[in-house]
Amino acid sequence: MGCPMKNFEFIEDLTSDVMFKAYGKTLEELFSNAALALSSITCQIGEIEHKKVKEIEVKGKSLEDLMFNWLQELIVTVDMDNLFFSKFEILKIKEDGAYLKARCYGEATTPEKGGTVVKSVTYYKYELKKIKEGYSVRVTLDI
Amino acid sequence: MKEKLKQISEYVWELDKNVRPRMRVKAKIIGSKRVIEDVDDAAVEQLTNVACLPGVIEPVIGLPDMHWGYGLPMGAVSAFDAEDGIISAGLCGFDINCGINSIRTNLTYDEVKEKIKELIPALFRAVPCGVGSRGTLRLTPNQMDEVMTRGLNWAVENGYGTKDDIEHTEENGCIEGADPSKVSGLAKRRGMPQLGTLGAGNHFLEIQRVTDIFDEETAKQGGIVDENQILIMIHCGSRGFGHQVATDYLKIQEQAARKYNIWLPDRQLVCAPVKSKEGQDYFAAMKCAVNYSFTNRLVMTQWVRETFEKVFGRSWEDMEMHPVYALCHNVVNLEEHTINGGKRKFFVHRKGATRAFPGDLVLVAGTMGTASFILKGTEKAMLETFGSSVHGAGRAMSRHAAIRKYRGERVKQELAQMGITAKSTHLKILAEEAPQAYKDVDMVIESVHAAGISLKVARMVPIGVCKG
Repeated sequence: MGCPMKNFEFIEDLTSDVMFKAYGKTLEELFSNAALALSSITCQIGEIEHKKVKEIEVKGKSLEDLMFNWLQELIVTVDMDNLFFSKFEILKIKEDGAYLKARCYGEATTPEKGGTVVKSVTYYKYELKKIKEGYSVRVTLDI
Repeated sequence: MKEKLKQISEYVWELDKNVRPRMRVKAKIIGSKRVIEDVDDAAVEQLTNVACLPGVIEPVIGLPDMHWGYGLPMGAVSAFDAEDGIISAGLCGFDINCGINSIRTNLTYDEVKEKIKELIPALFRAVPCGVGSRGTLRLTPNQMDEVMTRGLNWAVENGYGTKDDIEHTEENGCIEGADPSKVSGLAKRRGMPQLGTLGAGNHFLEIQRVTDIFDEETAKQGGIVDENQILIMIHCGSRGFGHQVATDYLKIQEQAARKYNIWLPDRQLVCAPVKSKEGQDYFAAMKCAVNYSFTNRLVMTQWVRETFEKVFGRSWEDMEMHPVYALCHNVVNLEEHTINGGKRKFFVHRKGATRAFPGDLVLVAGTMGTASFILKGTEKAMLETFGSSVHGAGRAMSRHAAIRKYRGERVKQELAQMGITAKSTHLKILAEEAPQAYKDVDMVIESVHAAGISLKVARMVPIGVCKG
């Protein structure tokens, strides 16, 4: 196609929930882009400055499981640490999906910069796969 | 799948158990022809998935507000045998005890209209809302345990509400058998700072005007006596606490389904046998979230009363701000039902569905711009829907489609033209929740009323709305 790969896109498939697809040439990009897609639901991501930094470590049994746990951890962070993030650096990721370490940049939650409460990541049509250009993941969020 | 629906009577449609392999029982949808025309095919298929689970009791039910949801549509009821059925975290959904409180006043529309521009911002300050919002209450671990096990009894002892509120809440606001040891530390930590918060999305706090009273006697029992009387409605759930309980048990029950060799037509319908540890643990943990959520809404109810006191300069008792009723619409209950002439116990899973036993009031939430209703349960509901009715209008359009189609500013202006003052944390949420993104609530109510599974008592329209 010659055009650059999108970071993520929302799919109009569900009336009540949100589905997105995220892409990455590398696993680092894939995990960062999926996190950006999630953040763009929970907050108004364009307005979130990089005032605070939090390091997050997540474990998994496979790449799919690691992605699920990573996104779930970010959902919990909104409640537990009251942080909205707008940038994610994946510092370390194991190819078998056993471990990920990331540095997340953002600011304290404020209602004015909020979006919608994401209740959970779900298994509906959940799929992480290797594609010609790298990786893609399809995620449905219950909101 | 929709083309396989057979019309049984004007408001009842059935799917035979041979419409797909492995269905154990029939599925049934209650609704007018127009309701059926609007239902998505995928949601109908979801009903047939549930009909494949072990111990399912005929029929699996779709209500007129049904729309696609995680695993099972919102607006659905499924019952499972108490001996050899299953209990499912998937069939209850993520927002355990999402529900509604309705509070009445003796104030008239004219009295409140004058103050609405002052009242709505004051309510907005008193009731924290939005993503990541924290309450002014910060529970200690011991208090959190008390909320989980004692529900509204804890609330009333701590100055939130009165005995009257307890008596006007489903299950008296405290379901027995809640066991905090079955709840993860993470869920508790998420719950402690969030008690007394509204959240965001479709949750709201609304000031309503009564427009019609259809059943004077029942309305009077709820304290609704006049058209133009002002009511307050709170729609909210168990916040991050309930979401975490559900998320934790979806993982546990996914493994359980494999362990007990339960064939799942859809990975989201994870479940465990009723007598298994994974089934019973979920039931005990879910009850903690049910009690938390009842408490959450009563705490906010009391703050609403205090805000009215400040704005109107009268005590809340003087304004007769008593409960009409408080109920949940995402829950699993162990209930006795009569089937084929005999009484049996079932685990009834209501997801986006309200208990509608004879004598129960049923509260149905509309949208920011459309009516809400109070209905009453019936004997017919006991026969047709395991004593259940609808919970709301049901979405008709995705949130992204709504954001693209509507602008928050414009929605706010249109609501203002209709005499509705809306305040939200940000404008995008008003676009997402635009009234046009939902089904026609009047059509949904006409279906349940005509089908006889609950009957109209009163209709209200919003005059002021607070949205996360």
